[in-house]
Amino acid sequence: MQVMIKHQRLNIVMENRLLKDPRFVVGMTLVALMILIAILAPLIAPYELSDGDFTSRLCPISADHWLGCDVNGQDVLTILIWGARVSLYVGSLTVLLSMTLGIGAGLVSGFFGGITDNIIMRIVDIFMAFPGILLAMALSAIMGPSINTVVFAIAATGWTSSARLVRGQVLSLADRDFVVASKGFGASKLRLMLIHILPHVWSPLIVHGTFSLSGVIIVEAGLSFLGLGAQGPIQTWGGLLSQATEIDLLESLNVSLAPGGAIFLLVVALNFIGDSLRDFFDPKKEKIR
Amino acid sequence: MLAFILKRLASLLPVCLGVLIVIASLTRLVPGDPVEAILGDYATEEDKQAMRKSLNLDEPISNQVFAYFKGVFQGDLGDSIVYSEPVWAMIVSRLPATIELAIASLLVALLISIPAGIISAYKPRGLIDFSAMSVAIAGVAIPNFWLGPVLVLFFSVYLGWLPVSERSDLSSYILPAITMGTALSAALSRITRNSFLDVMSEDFVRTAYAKGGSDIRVLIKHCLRNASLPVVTVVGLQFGVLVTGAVITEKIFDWPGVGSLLLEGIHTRDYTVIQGCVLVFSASYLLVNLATDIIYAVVDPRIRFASHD
Repeated sequence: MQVMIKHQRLNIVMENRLLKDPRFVVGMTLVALMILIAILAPLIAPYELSDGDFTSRLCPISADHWLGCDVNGQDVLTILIWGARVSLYVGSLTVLLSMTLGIGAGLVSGFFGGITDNIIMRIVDIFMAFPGILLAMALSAIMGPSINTVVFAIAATGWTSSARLVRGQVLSLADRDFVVASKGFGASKLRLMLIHILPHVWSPLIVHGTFSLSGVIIVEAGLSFLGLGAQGPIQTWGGLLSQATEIDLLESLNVSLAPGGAIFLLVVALNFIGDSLRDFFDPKKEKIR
Repeated sequence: MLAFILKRLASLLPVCLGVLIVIASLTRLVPGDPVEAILGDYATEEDKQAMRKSLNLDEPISNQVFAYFKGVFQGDLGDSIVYSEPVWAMIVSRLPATIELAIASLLVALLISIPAGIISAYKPRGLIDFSAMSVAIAGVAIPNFWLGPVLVLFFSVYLGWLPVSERSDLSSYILPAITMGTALSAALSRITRNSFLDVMSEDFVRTAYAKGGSDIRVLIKHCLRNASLPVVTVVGLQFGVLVTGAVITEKIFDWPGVGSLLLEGIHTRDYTVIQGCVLVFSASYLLVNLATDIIYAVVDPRIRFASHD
């Protein structure tokens, strides 16, 4: 009973501190809004996706087209709304996949050391030797580009960075007194890893995870920019941005500013959330104040 | 220390083998027929057979991998399918442009991020911290494929200060290096700040202050070494972002580097060129990571000794 009360109090204190952080509130509101837009895309988009009309090519901002049209005469606002789906889908799925794999591999590798560590780290090295977008580019050239190719290819290399980060932290923690002490008390290996070591790894992981998510969103847009992302009727922010290289930027600022702005907003919102969570989770922070 | 480096070099061998196997079997690992993809729907069966033979696709995968291995160790990455030129020569002629660009953008990133991170951490939540981190957040969030064209538009077209594209004198490096280095410097300054904040709340820092150490002495002598660990890691990790940036930046600025060669290869489905470029980028990435690990061990003796167990 007492434990429960203590727990509840702690929860209330946590919520209050987070909700008082403007970065968290602003970031969460923006991301929630983006998710809502992505879910409701078929309902709120002003035009059908296939409604390209060459007579309205690069039409200016007007009451009919709030953000103007692109080179195919497609309504820019409609593309932005549907593009939110692609960005959020690819981003969240990729990060979920790669972080889960990375945390597991990093913990095991750093904790057990020896030959286990060696094998896992060599696998990490092999995957890591294909930097970021490179494997995705090669894969989509060979497999034919699609959304799932993008998720698969980014996650295949993405898990390695969190694995390395976790391992590095575990290595420098494993000899600390509090770990040695609980080992002396007979704590099992699983308990040592999950209860004693993992909590100390969260702080850098959260910062890393935020960067991963925003990074994946930018990489996805980059692949689309290069023509290697989602294909067919699906419109993406990166694909819209790639038109900026074909047209006179000064005349059609909206075509490049709108998708750039959407990417910017989403990434900034995610970084706000990551920052506020980092300050919040960090137990050492208390000492400074 | 020498033992550590040798050990690390030895452990690099299996990784190189693994990378080579993945690259050599790249065309086999994924579903679909690469020959169909290269030649398109209108090719005759004879053309397809000839293409399979020239790509070694008619042989079992082990032979294919072995043949690629043999070629790589003889400095032969095969001939380009489209240009019928040796891929190795094509890459070598374009390598300097990419390396110069990478170094320039790394310089831009380090010169901005390390001082910005330290100053921000010194007075957290102060005015400098707030503005530096706001700029850093913006820097991470602005995609380089948007920043590049905007920079060109403003500095080259509108102001006319800098060349539009193509590699010529030193001034032609400025815009590409900024385009490529911005995201990196933003990420690095955030990590530098976070890492310094973590270290500055440690007991030994309080002890150093208690002994009467000045701010600069404590920051440089006691914090820098401890705080640099994550920063070094991130520089190594972010090299991948830099390579990604190279491909996109080279496309925007018409830069005659390996990145634009890779893009060309992808658009013409030139498999040997794709394989060669991926190999070169991967090899450089491995070297950077080797350097990162060595620096890591120099900075933190615990890691050096842990690897001896």
